[in-house]
Amino acid sequence: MPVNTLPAGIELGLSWLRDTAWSTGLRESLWAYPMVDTAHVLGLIAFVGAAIVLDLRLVGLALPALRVSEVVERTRRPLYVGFAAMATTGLLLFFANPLKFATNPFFQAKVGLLAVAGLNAGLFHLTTYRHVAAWDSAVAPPGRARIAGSISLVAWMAVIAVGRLIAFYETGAGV
Amino acid sequence: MSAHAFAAWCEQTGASVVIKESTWMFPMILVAHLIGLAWVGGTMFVVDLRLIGFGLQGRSAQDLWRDLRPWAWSALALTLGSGWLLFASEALRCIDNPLFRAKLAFLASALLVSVTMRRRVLLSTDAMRVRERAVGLTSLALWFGAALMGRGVGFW
Repeated sequence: MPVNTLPAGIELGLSWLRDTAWSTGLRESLWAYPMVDTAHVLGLIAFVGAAIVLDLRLVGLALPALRVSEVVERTRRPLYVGFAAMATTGLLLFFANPLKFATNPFFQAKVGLLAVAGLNAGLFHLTTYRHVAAWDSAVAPPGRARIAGSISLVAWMAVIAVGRLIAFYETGAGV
Repeated sequence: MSAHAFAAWCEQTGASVVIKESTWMFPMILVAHLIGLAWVGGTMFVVDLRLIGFGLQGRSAQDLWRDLRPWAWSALALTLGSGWLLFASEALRCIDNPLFRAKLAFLASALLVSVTMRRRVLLSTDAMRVRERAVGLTSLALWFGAALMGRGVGFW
């Protein structure tokens, strides 16, 4: 459920953040904000692109001849680099408009979906993936790996969807 | 027909009118456009990176492409189809936007490279390290440019 009013303390903190010189500067900048936003999308393409390839392998829909562990090892770098770019620029974007984002239902949904994607990846690595040696070369990995791959695919597509919709809330026409 | 006449014609087509009159149609199509882009990003770029010499070394770029090609082309179809609808709904605004023109130039070059040099390298069985590297880099740079300009369109 969207939260339209924030707890008083949080609202106070976020409006203080919004009124700092750095936040105001970024919000009102002609070039910095669009550039950070563009970097956010490029980081996302790198990260989600690599995640899709890995997830497709986990679900059993692509790259059957490659061992799962090789796909995991080889997608690690684009995943880390893409995630770092995405997270840094994402925090900057939030920092420029903290109150507006915190009360935006699409932003709230995005935070929830990111948590789902993160927990899913964490659980997969701590449980199913620990025994990868047993099914490394299987064309169709075990059910639990296929479920983790499916959840990841759906969650990241949903993150992209609600993320892009943030700009359309209230105004009905975003940048 | 001039570019402006073409854009004016686009804006009065049925699809364009429906999108313009709806509040949520444009954002939803934009979401489809981005999701398509993420899939293109994953499936095209893994192969481009392999051509350059990074990433999935366990198999050749040619083998990877054979596996990923249906995903890449479907995603591209989704991206181009949704992109066309977005363009039709605000064609007159787009064609005067220099970033949109730059985006089209990058996109056209990227597609041209995909169906010519890149295709030839990916269907070939000879080892052509230098050519593979050059094609991978070119393809990656052109798609990157198209995405960069594309994000800029809305800010102009």
